[in-house]
Amino acid sequence: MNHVLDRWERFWFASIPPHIYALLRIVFGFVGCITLLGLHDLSTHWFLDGLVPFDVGAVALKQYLIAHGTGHAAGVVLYISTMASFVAMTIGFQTRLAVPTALFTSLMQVAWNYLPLSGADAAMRVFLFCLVWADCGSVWSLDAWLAARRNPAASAVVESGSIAPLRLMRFQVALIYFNAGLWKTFNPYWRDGSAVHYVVQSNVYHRLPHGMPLAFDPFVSALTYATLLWELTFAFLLLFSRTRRIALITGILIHLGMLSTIEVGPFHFVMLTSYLAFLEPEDVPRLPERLQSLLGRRARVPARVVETTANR
Amino acid sequence: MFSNPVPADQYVRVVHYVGSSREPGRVRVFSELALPGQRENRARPVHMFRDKAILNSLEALAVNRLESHDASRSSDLEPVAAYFGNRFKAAYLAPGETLVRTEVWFGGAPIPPTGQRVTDSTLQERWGVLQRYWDGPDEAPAAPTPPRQGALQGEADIAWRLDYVQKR
Repeated sequence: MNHVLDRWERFWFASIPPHIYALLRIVFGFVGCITLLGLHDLSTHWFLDGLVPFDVGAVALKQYLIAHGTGHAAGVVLYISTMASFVAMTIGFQTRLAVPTALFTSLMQVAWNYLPLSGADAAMRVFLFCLVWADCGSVWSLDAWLAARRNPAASAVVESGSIAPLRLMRFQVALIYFNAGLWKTFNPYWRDGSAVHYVVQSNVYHRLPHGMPLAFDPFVSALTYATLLWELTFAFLLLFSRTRRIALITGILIHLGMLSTIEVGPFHFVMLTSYLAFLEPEDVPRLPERLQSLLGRRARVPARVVETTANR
Repeated sequence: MFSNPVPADQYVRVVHYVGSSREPGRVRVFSELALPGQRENRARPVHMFRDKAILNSLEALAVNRLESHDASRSSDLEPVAAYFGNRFKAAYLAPGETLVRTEVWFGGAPIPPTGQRVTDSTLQERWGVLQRYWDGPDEAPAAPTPPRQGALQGEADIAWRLDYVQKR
């Protein structure tokens, strides 16, 4: 019994270096900033007389703002505060506040105007919720840099954190694909192998004017079934390290393939970013060194000591 | 994503009815293409959030019609009519002109099944029709009586259905 409890405890609460959370914070923050830049047309997406549903979400607040002639100002304030929270999150400034604020402003955006948002934004909010519970700012952040300037000795040691938020993110990625796969099985076009054909030929999604050439149709049919199979099995393939690698590489290829042929906004970027949650947390602190050696340069900054339960 | 692919190319056009105090009784009619926002005969490197907003409005309309068992429900398209109406008013109306009516039409052109494609001549004919919209709001002769919600029209292989009417 104790053995089972120990494993349960380790599975959810083992100590890991905080660098993986910092990496996820930076990349999700960056994707959030880019998405907001795409929504920069304030008069369309943020002003209450724009393409904004007036009778859905925060109706009383919208009525009050319009009645007092402050609808435009409120839209500007919401956009700027959302952007500021994502910029602060990306650079790691006041991180403990920035990540929850980014989640809060994202939720406000849904209430304000859900129309330009997609599944990518919903996934982003869930990942932000997971990051709220993690220490994202103790490394690779402006906060850490400022702390090191104030007290160099104390900043040499980095506290480790719980793996629980990372586990939740991994579960969420698996759940997103499994859920999507299940829904697809109810659709006749996914069952008869023509779904991807209709998507890549659709005038609102295809990147190139003529969609996919006729000769590619058998491949597109095979891709329909492959996507369905991959989505349904993704969660189970994650269970073992060897199959996990296959699931993730297949995912990267599918997302990159879709990214080059259809235009669906930030979805692929959010999902590809979420794959970073499957890196081994212990390997992430050495990523900058690896990158530098790949670029042919030696690391200048020595790795900081990570204080874990083992060396405490 | 794409759990329910649509086997048709999708379009939304907005029709504006303009009255003038200088010519009482005369109404001019202008049409503009709201969806897709980028020309479909060119490559599209960037995402257009406005298109996503219109697609979400259409999806809300379809779901709410199904759930309320009310095929005439159309209020989900109100933001589309209001936004394009206000934009048209600000950009094109002269002093003394007023927007008296805005219509939102949904258009569909079937995508042939796997192993088939729309013929070049059909596509050229469709793009010929769309070219009028791509060049900016297109003025059309006004009908003696404006169409009612649910009215159908055809242009090339696009079948249009009037889904929302906003009288001002």
